[in-house]
Amino acid sequence: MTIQPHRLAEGGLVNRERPLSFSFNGARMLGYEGDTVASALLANGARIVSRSFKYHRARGIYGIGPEEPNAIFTVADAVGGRRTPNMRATLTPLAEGMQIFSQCGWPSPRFDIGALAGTVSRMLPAGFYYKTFMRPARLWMFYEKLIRRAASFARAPDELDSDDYDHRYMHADVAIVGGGPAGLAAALAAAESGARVAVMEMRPHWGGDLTDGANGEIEGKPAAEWARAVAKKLSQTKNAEMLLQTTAQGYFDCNYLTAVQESPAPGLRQRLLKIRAKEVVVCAGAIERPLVFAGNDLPGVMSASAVRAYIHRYGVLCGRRILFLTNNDSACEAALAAADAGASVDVADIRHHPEGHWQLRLQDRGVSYYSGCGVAGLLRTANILAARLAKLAPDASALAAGGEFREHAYDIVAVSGGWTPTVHLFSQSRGKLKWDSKCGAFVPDESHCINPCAAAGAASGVFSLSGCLKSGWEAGLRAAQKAGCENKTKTNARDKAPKAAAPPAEYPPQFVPLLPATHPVGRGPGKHFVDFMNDVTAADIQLAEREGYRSAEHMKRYTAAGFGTDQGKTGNINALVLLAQARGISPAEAGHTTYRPQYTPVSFGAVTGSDRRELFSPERGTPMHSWHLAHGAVFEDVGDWKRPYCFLREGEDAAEAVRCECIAARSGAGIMDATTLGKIDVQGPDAAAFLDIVYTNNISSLQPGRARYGMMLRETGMIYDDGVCARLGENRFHITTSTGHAAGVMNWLEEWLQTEWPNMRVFCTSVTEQWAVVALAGPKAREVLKKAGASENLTAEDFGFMHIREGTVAGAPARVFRVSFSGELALEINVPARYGLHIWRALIAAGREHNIRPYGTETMRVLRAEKGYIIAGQDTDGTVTPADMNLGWMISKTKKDFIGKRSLSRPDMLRAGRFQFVGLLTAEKEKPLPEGAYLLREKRARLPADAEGYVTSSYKSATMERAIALAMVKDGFARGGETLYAALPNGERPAATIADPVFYDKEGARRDG
Amino acid sequence: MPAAANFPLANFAGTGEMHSAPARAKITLRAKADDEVFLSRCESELGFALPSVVGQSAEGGKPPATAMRLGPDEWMLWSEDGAREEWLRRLEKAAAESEFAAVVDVSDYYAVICLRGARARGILSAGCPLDFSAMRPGKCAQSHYAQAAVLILQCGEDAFDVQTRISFAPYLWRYFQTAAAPLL
Repeated sequence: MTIQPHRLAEGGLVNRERPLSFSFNGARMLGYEGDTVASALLANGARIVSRSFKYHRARGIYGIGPEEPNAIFTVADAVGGRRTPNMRATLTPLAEGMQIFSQCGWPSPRFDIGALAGTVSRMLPAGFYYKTFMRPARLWMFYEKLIRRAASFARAPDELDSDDYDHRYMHADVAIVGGGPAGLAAALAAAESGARVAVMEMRPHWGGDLTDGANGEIEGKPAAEWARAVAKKLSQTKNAEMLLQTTAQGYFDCNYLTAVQESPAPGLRQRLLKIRAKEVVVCAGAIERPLVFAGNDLPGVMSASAVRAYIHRYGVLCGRRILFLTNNDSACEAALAAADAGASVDVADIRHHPEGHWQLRLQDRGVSYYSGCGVAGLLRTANILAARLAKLAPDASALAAGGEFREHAYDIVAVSGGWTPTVHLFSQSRGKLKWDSKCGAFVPDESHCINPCAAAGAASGVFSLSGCLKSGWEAGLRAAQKAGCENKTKTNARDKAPKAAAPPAEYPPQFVPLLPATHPVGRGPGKHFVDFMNDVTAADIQLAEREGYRSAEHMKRYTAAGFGTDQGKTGNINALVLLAQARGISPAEAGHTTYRPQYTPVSFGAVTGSDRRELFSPERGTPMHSWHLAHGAVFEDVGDWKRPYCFLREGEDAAEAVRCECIAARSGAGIMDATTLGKIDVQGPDAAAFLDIVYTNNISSLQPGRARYGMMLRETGMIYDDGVCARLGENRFHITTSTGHAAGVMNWLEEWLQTEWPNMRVFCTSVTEQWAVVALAGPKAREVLKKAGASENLTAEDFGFMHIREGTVAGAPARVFRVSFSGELALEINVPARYGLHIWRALIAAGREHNIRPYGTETMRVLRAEKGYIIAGQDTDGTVTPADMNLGWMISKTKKDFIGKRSLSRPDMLRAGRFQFVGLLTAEKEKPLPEGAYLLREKRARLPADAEGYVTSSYKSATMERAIALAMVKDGFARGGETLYAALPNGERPAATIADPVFYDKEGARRDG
Repeated sequence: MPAAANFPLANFAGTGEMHSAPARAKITLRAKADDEVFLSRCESELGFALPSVVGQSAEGGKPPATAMRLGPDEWMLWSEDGAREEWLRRLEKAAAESEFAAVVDVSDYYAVICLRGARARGILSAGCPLDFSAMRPGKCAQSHYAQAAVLILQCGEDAFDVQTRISFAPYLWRYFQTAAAPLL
């Protein structure tokens, strides 16, 4: 077995009893349970792990958390070998058999041909792509492919994701982001006030940085132990939801948060939490910022706090010889930890003569402490970093005059440029940020938050342990109080904050935008990197400013700083400060970019949750669905509905089935499941007056027991929907809508009732699925109904067209409409849904002697097209009026008003040249035109050419023994007999002649049998 | 005459924890909130007052019925399936005396799935944004569960009846099962 050269003999939160084997770019390695991919790679001494995006520079692991800009891999499972791209090494737990692959770099990250780009980097400045690939515009699509290939993104997997995910809604009085000292103190305070709290901690342990070897005690206990005890206590109370491995990702209006929880339950990879909280306390901590110095992106340059945390969390010492380069005291603690772990440590501090607690302790340990010193250049040879330590001028903006250099070799250069509060969520919630010169960063401005939200601890710029505890506790108390939970038991609750010893006196940090090098910025071998992921340098930011991209948002877009998948967690603040410096103004004036969800990249699986496979979308079936399934139905999706398109019988294909179904309905009897039609019960003293105004035609003159075909327009005068309106009683109507508009029409009616005519006494109730509907059509329909045992009133000859009657069919109570969408004698039988299957079967059995056939949606469409009946939404598209569809007769001339009436008299509605509804007869009888085909006047017209119209419906009609089509044609009503040509994508131009859209039974003799 | 009133779920084997409710009478009542005539006639027909708070249910009557107030002018009445005709007749009588009220039979429009026991809230929270820890027995609410519109009545400490349109019932059932699996 391989050894882990950088693993310490003891320490860390890993389980050394459970070794895990994995591979990195094919090399076998060992790690432990509890490792992340990053900690395991570091333990094994992996150095160059990736290549950068633009210059293909060699990069190593830089950080330890979500800020990591370099270590992003494709990970393949041990079992099945499924590859997941873009996994962040610092956040991905190591698993047995994992295969880890670098994504950038060909043929390998250690030797990458693309690195030649770095040698010509002078020619690849910020805005390079904009400047170079501007012209000609038509070649952009070609350029884009090249650029994408050069960037060498990971390959998206094309197999199904075999993992499971789900969603969970949560509610809390106080949601707390972060389970460090501030977050736990806030949780404790809020929970003790009786608030329901939800605490989210990204890591698998409570305590945040307390697990990274924090010194000091809280309430007399070692800090990490205190954190564990508090979390345990809280998780045992009923009103606290303690969520580990849960990253708050989005903060939306009205305190709606989304978070992703890893491994929430056996068999689940991730869970998306959707949290509504009365109050939110953001205790998300802070991220250590890099120093901008020449060569600062080389593999082996790391965040100082990461070096320290790898020791304490994973028992990994990243190098034996470590230089700590810092502008503040926190790196001194890290240096001490590294020295304690056995490393040989030097410290270069840009501050001149810092003399505080930590400096003394380091000197006591015999650590070489170079104060007033920076790194003026860094060179890499294999795994050795040669640092050129240089004395700095007092303000650190330049090398000291007559500068002296020392060259030292290190494995690791650990950098601390201070701490940047994690303000992402606060900013996402549209809380404003303010510049804080004490921490050299932007911090939340609680006087400017839009949503009920607060920040505490390091996220608010408070870095000491005692300060974090106090600010967290107070924020928790306040939040609980604002959420309506008052701490009644403790009168002086404010003073009960967990206590920690006051921190040793801190020597103040010194912030400089970039460290001077032996060469000017942008020249010479060592670049000053700002954004590692997107290869943005200090020179790029200065260039952006010179070229006029002076606002933070413009600079970001021009240079791409902060646009990587790490969203610039390390580099943004340095970019903003450099921009301010270039403009000669303060960072407060220069401002910042906007933070947006998500905090870290979120998998599509988490977003999808359970809504996939059979739960992707509801599949709605009617009460007769089981029969359809058993009888050869081929289904068609109509909204959520599965409707039979046709019913295949042995030896038939769909076209043949449709042909036979049409013949059956025209010659004997056909039967269709029309349950999906929308149905609305409209009741009230003003029901008739209300329907008068929503339909174009007159409804109030309708007699009870009669029905009328009705049409609805939008306010624009354009056709919206059509259906049958039946009057059941003086004040009660039953109206139908097309399947696709069932919900829309219901909302449409409610909208008018609630907003325009709230005084109308009308109630609308959807009854769509209360009724199963069977459309029985054909010359033998009445005989079939008789045979099926219908009550006499339903089969009587005097049951006239557009009448409705109630009776029984095969013993079931039925409401029957004598309406026809096929032109044949037809009865639409409505029964309570529970009887749907029963009467369907009864009618099929009764129709056997007349060769009854069930028919589907396609036959329905053919039959209606033969009669020139429109389908709203197929033959109409929201731009046609009733007059365009030759339905001007449906416009009441007597009604004072109806929705859309005024629009019908606009000049545009009356002008010549509108598209009008016509029939088309193809020259070749056997060849239907494709629906949607454009119609040209000239057979040989060169494209692009003005269209004379377009085909809206097209079928092969068995009845007419030829292809027919319906179309919208410019001035079509007056152009009967004219021949037009359809422009097909394959170049053909079939001819068709304009005809009456009523192809069959023009006299309408068949509807009465 | 064969009529399976809970037909959309007929093929799903339920458990004590999750089962399809036997066929139920379901009647939509619509009336203005200040329609004293209708409210008092209803009360005498039902034997109990319609709940006056939106989101509240009331029980009583013979045959036993549950009335839920769904909105300012809308109630839903549940009762046993055999009582459907009788309740319709009696409520329509009450409505007839009012100037403006509507009674609509929607018994076959909806199916009801019953969730019982410790996992009920967890199952519901996987797809419905309501706060079930804050809900109390006797409360009802309309919302959505994943992509299905639902009416939820909390009928006991750990008991919820979920009504959805019949064509959505198989989807809702499968979603509940999926949501229950990770809840141990």
